[in-house]
Amino acid sequence: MKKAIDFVRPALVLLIVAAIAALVLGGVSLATSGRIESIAQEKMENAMQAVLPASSYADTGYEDDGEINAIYEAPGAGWVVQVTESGSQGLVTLMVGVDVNYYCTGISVTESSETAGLGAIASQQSEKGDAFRAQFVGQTGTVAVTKEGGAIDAISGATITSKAICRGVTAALNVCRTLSVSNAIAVAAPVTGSSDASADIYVTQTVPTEAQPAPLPNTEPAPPAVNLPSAEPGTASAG
Amino acid sequence: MLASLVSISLGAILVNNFVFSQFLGICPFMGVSNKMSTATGMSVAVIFVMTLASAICWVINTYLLIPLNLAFMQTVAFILVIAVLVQFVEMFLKKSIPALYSAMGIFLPLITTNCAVLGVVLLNTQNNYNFLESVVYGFTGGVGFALALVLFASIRERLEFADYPKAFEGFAICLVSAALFALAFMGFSGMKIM
Amino acid sequence: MNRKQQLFEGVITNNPVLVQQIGLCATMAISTTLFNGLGMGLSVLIILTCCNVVVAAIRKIIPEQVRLAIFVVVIAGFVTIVDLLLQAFIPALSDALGVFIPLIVVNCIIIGRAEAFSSKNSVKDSLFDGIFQGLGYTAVLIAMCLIRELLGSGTIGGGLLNGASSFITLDGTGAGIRIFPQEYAAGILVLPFGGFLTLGFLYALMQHLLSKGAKKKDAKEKEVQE
Repeated sequence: MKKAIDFVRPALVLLIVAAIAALVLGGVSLATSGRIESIAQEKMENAMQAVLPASSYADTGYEDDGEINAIYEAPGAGWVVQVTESGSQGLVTLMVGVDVNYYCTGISVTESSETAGLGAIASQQSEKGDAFRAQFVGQTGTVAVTKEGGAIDAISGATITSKAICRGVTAALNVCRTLSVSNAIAVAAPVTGSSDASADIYVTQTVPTEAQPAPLPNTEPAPPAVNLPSAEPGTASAG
Repeated sequence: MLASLVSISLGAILVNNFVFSQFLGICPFMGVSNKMSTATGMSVAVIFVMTLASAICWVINTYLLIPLNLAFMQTVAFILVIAVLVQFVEMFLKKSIPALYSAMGIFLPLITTNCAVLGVVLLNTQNNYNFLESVVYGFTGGVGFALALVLFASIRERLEFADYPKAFEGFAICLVSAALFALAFMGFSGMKIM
Repeated sequence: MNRKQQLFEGVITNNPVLVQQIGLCATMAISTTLFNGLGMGLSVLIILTCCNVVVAAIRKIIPEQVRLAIFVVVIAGFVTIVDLLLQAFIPALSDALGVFIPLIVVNCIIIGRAEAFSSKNSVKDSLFDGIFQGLGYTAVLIAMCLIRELLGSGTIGGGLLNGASSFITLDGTGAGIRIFPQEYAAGILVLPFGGFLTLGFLYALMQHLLSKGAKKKDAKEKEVQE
């Protein structure tokens, strides 16, 4: 009899403590979840506004392929692409704004665990961080650091982070290029009403991209657009 | 698929080594690295528990916590799972494989509070790894820990004959040596197979 | 219990990091900017104090066999609460500390104090023990951050202070007050290498000072005897 009590009591106390903990946590979670979600939402919107100002963004339903996480279309202005690359310490997630002519309109690093004082500059709101990010504005085709023959001045001491961001921007530009290809097909195909054509295109274009995401990274950037932005980096690196 | 698994493994063992670049499991790392024999015992136990914990916690998280909207209970659930798991492994080994128990038995209770174990489980959920990726990350993370531990134990055995300032005696000189290891492991950073 | 002595023990002679050698992982991992260090230190202080109080309050009804499991549940509960609150109110800190917030659960300081102190002492003593030990931990973190940030990036108060616009920011974007140009900073100190090295030197310094203190005490006692 006594043995049974010896066994039951500890289990009961543990159960009660766990139940109280679960209840309290449930309450706190309930109280904070709304705020946590709205913060995440706000952060996302701020990042999108920063790279490509527009009145609204529509998720194109692009399926996460490990590199490109999502593509949002800003009607008439272009796209905002969320890309994840591996940096020096972990994953770096960035938002890349791309205009309708496939030029980068700006980047914003939303998540990274890069080294403070070095790679972390890429996401910091500081003079250096702003200058680094500003270099990407107006880039097109393959974006690379100066060491690799590109036009981006890497953050000193954080070449790996800088390269990762260049890769991400290149991937974003490339993926938008393929979007437009399917876009063009969609336009060529008989579209119902001309007034909400954009909405129709928008649905049709997601299908081919999902079907064949593999060739995207390998697609060579189309040559015609490359020569123009060479003037840009000079001004950017001076800043 | 294979490429991503290779990349995860390489990352966990070398590039983002649990001890030297992610600072996970430092306490047991410093605690048991003074002798080669204890270091190997601890290593085996950690690899074993980390792999098992990754698998079990993934199942619990995916089929229990997320469907029930209890994601906020992750930390509580995971640490309890690890504690219970360690206890069971200890009992099982004692009964069925006494040889292995005598090799790693005394290290098992220490593993509950090894932050590498809870760390790997939390990182699995944070990185959204699938089942196979979680298990591979758990196993290779353990291998990374073991590599660090064995390397460091071999250095520490020689430290006893080294000549250094008196203030650095004991723990301080170990940290400085670990710093040099971290420096060496930095050479792997940015390495990538994709 | 003598509070002054308790404070002295918590911060210096029985400092959790420098003397007890526990809670090392987070100490080295996140001590790169003052913002991270202060945030982590205060989070641990709050969690430690709450856990100490709760454990002391229920110490008489905790069955011996499952006491560790109960400690762990209590600790994990408080850690999750702090984690959720940080996510909701100081998201920048939550982003910066990442996995090291939930990992406070296995920070040996907390379970160590529960086992060694609060399960044997009154609620009031445990409360002060939590605060003092937490202060000791925070002090080490701040020292680490100041050294690593100053030598590693040439600034002070990164993330928290912003020399240009507002003085104190909580969104983690402040670049800190620049003491000397980035070009002259030893960037390697903010890398993992610097974490180990800085703690090693701090530890040596502490050992040196403590042994000096002990010698003085010995000498004094000898004098008295003679």
